[in-house]
Amino acid sequence: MEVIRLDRVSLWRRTQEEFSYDLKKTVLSFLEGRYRKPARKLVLDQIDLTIEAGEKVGIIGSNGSGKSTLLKVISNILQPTSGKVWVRGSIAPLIELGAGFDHDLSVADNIILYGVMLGFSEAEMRWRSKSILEFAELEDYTSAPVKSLSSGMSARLGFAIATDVQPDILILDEVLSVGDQSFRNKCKQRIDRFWNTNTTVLLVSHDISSLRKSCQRVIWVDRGKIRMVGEATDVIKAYLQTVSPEDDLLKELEADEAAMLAEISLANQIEEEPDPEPEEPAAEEIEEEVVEPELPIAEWVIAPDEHSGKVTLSRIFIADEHKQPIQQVEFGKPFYVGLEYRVDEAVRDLRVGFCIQNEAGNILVEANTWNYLSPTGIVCHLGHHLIWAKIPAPLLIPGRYFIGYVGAYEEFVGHHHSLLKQLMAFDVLPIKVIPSAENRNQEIWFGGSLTFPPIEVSVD
Amino acid sequence: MFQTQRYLELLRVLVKRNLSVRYRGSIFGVFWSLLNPLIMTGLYTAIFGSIFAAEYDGSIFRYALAAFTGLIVVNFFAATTTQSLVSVVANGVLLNKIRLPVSVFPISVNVANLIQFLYGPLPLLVVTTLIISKSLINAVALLLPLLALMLVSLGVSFFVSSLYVFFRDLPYFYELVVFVLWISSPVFYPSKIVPVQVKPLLALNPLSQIIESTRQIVLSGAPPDFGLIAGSLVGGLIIFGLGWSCFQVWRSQFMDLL
Repeated sequence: MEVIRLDRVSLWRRTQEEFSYDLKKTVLSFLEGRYRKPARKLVLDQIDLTIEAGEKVGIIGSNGSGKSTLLKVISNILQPTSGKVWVRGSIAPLIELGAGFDHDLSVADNIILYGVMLGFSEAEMRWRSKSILEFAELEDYTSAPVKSLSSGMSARLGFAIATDVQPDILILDEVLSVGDQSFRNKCKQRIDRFWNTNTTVLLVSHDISSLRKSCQRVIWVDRGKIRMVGEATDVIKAYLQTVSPEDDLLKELEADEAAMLAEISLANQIEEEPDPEPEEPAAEEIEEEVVEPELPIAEWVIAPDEHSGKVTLSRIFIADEHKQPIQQVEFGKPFYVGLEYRVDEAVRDLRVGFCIQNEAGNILVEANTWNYLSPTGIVCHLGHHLIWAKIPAPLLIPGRYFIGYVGAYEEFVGHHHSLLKQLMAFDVLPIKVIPSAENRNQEIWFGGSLTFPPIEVSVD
Repeated sequence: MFQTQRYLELLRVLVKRNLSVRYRGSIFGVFWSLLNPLIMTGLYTAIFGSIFAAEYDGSIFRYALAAFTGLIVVNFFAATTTQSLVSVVANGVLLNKIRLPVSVFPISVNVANLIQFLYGPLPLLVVTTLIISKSLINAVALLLPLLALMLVSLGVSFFVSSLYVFFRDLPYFYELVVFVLWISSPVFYPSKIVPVQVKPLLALNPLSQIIESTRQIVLSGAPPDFGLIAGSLVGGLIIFGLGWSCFQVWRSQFMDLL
């Protein structure tokens, strides 16, 4: 579904530099006959663009190329001189946080003012202000005027207000460099939450390496025109080759290319593979644990190249308490994660394992040979292995989960890491809790918990 | 429908901000706004009272009341338009970040001043009207020149706030304009003393009609003169129409200069 569409959008703007802003001078130059009509400049030139719902799009380009202007046209702050802009859904602009604050008003009043300007109702903002203050960590400053806050604090407040409600389209213009490190992480988490959902995100950033990681598609704007649109890596590479051929990131990109291509083809392979859990034969094979490996469903490639193909992942699946493969888990029952793989050549300090992610993309469990799975055991030896990891119950609350595969090896400097997310999905089914005297057949209320591990409670 | 609702909500919040910044939550703040016209009235009465008393049936008190009605009208106009003048440019940064209806800024200044007027000077005017004319009709009719005053203020606010986007030295000129309007309005002198040749020029001042009409309703004791009221309303509508049209025509260029 299209959420943003620009049809041959052009924008002429008056250049501010040339303009005098001065009535006296204008009148005088008029009298002297030197008056000229103010010059206008073409800032956006025949832009055609469509963005689908849920896309994360980065915009790059040199200063003054029209990136921010493009965002302003999309946000309907500027009307195009010609062409059509079509936007569906609510837009949250996150451009230079805190621009809307009245410094004499209290924090509480500013929340309402800013929220109403963003298009929420006053009643709604009153209701939201608690969670906003909480997120911004400003509960103690509710009635203090904004001018008494530090710049970091007011940036926090701006971020908290603008992101309290999940918008359909989020516009980010170099904003994440606010606040201290811990708040920056908090912002990042919240942005990540948008990232993992259907929110469409438009991001302008000069931090190209982070843009490459977070966006699927990148638009390169050059002197008011779209120079290139496409897959993030391709566009960034082309951009860097033109702008700064000596850039380290470019070299890194080129070096990584082979490895990245391998990973991409690997990911495709996994997707194309039919259900990785054969029904009956699987059960036998697992119990014998010495079968011929099936067709590998995935090659685990560790960058750089010299290690690729040394470890092959054959299967990953879940099974019940009796090690019978299953598709779904009932809440409150333990289950196994099975991992079948083959090590063809010794890899120093191999680290393999799996992770369980929830739908929001948070890794809830990561078990690898450096923690739960023994590094000294068979897991890293040459040969074919099947390892079982028992996940205790209760742990996962009802919902959809993904099992991914984690692999890494350590070198003397740094380590190389490969994470294959969402290899397979399974559901934890909700059940009524085991009835007891206290909770008679009631469903557990999980609150905001991501997991629900057993907690022993005692009273002295 | 949704747009209108949002606009009104925005307007309400901006008016609240305007008033609360002004008074910091003090109830007496509104009365503070009466201080200026009261002091000025006292001053004018002390200086000109005895000279012009003859024009007001020989009563200095009547002169004081006439000066007061004139003052609050001119004061309202001067304060509102001067504050409106900067309202668009002052919110320029904001307009560049969030899509907002531009007109809400000058309008909110006008509404905030109107509310202040309703709490401060208006009750005084109404009480005076009731005492002098003993007629409820006069007290109600008082709202009509007030409406005309609102229209003039809004029209001029739209005009100057948009012009200020283009010419940032406008406040110096506007100060002069306000002063001319101030002197050419019959605030502290009776309009009768103005030479006949100059009178047509003064008639161009939209505030004169409003002041005359207000005085007629409040001070004359006679039933409202609808000719004067109509005159002030027509003047108000013309000024409003002109100001609003300029604002609409120039608005498309605002964003390039904010």
